[in-house]
Amino acid sequence: MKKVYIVLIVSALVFLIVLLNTAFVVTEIEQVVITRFGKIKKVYTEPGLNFMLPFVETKHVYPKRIIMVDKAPNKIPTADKKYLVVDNYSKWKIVDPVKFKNTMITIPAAAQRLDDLIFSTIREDLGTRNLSDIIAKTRDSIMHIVTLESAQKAVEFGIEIVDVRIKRADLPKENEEAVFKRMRAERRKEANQYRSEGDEDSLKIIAHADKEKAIILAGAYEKARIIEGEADGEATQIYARAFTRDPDFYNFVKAMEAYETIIDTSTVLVIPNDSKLMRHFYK
Amino acid sequence: MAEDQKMSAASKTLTGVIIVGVVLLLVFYKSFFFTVESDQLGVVLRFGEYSRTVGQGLRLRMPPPFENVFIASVTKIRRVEVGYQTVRGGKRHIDKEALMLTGDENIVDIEMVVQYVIKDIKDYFFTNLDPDLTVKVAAEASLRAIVGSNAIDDVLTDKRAAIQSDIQIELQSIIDVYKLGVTIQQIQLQEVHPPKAVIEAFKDVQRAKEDKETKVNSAMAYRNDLVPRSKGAAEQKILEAEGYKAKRVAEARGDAERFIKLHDKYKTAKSITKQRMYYETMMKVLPGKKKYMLSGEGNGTLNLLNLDKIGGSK
Repeated sequence: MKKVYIVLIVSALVFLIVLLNTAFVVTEIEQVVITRFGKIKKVYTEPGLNFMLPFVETKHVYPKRIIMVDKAPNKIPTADKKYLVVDNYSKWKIVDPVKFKNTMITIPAAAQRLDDLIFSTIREDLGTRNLSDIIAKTRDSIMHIVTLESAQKAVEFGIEIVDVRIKRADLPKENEEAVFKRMRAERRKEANQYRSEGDEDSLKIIAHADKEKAIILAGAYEKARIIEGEADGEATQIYARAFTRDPDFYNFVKAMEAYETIIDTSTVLVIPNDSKLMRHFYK
Repeated sequence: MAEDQKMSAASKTLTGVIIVGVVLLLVFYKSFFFTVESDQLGVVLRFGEYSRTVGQGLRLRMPPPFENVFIASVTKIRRVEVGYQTVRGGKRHIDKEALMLTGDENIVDIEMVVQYVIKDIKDYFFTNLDPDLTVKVAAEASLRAIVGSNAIDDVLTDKRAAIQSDIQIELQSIIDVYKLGVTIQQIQLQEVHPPKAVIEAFKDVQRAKEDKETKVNSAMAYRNDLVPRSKGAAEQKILEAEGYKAKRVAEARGDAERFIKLHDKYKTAKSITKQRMYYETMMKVLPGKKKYMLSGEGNGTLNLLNLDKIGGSK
């Protein structure tokens, strides 16, 4: 009895061990190359359950997904002899695991190789363009060209370069301060302009206001004088009309009024004996 | 007897197997079940191949290596921060990420946040190795590309909203190329400033604008005060003149009227009126004044007078 059980268990174990060494799963995110004594035997790029010869064959697993590499930035000269610190990243995937195995072998090695390849492509391209264009206008076309060119060069490695993109493009640290200086100077100029415009405009407004005041007052004064003149004229006319009725009588009345004013308390009168007033007195 | 022994032996092994099975199930229950929360989806691979996507609930599965399960939240809003990092108690500014060139070769300081959700869970798990890191890196690239094609004044002021939407469009198109399986919900430029090193100079421009406005306003206030006041003074001057005119003419009319009335009366009895008027005047004028009545021979012969004495003491 016991023997049967032992045989069953042992054979189950053996079966399991064999299974573990021959069956393998290729997942959606993997691709597998099977080699026998170093020679490529089979390549699996689709997911599923597969079998290999144990001990004799070796399984090499490669990722199927898009890998991103983002290495350190590089200082790159532009056509107009300026420098840009360019930090780019690249997105690539293994499309031919056999080629990849034969050329790159490992992912880190591939990342380094690709980075060098891409860097030289970028440097070549940027060397033909001016800095201001790179920043403002031609970024897209640069990345497009670099992606295509790098992709071409990477085909022999079994790699498809999906995208090369500039993550950052900055001026070298030394130039940054110069830019800040220039920015400050530009703003200072702008501020001065506003302030002097303020002075100029306000002085203009004040001058116009003063002028307007002078005009208004001058006009008023003139008008007033005219009215006063009219007043005097009209009064004179009224007087004349009245007094010319009888100029002698006017003379007399006016003389009487004058005497009332002229002869004040300080007047000393010397009345001669032939005074008309006192003729009755002197009789 | 032997039959009984056989039975008990068989049943013993059976119970033993059942017990072991239950124990194994309890211990390794995770290999046979998994939970998907209400905001999540689960992707199941069977023998490496995509088998099914499952939603909320307690789900049955085969243990690895037969089946693999990937679970992620599809409604959770994921964030990527560019130019800063949220830390306990606030945020930490990251100059390297925040300072960038503008189209007119100036430098600007920007903090941006990107919010995204998983749109296609299969793509999210199976196409890119680092989907979340990819969003961050592509976001930086998009931000700098768009800012790099705009002038600094546009970035700082009126074109901010347009730039935000351009960045979102650019970023979405990049990650669609990568088949990331992610949708960008929102991009926000949270802080957009001139770099710290020049911010004073920028602020001063604002102050200068305000100074200009203040100066112009106070000049206009001066004008708005002066002109009406001058008009008032002018008005007053004219009214005064008209008042003078009215008074003068009235006076003249009064005087003339008085003279005419007097003259009319005088016409009726000329010499008598004249004499009366003369005497009335004398009677008004002469009393109270020092008078010297001269007597003596002849007409108008004036004796020598001591004028000082005559002048009298005052």
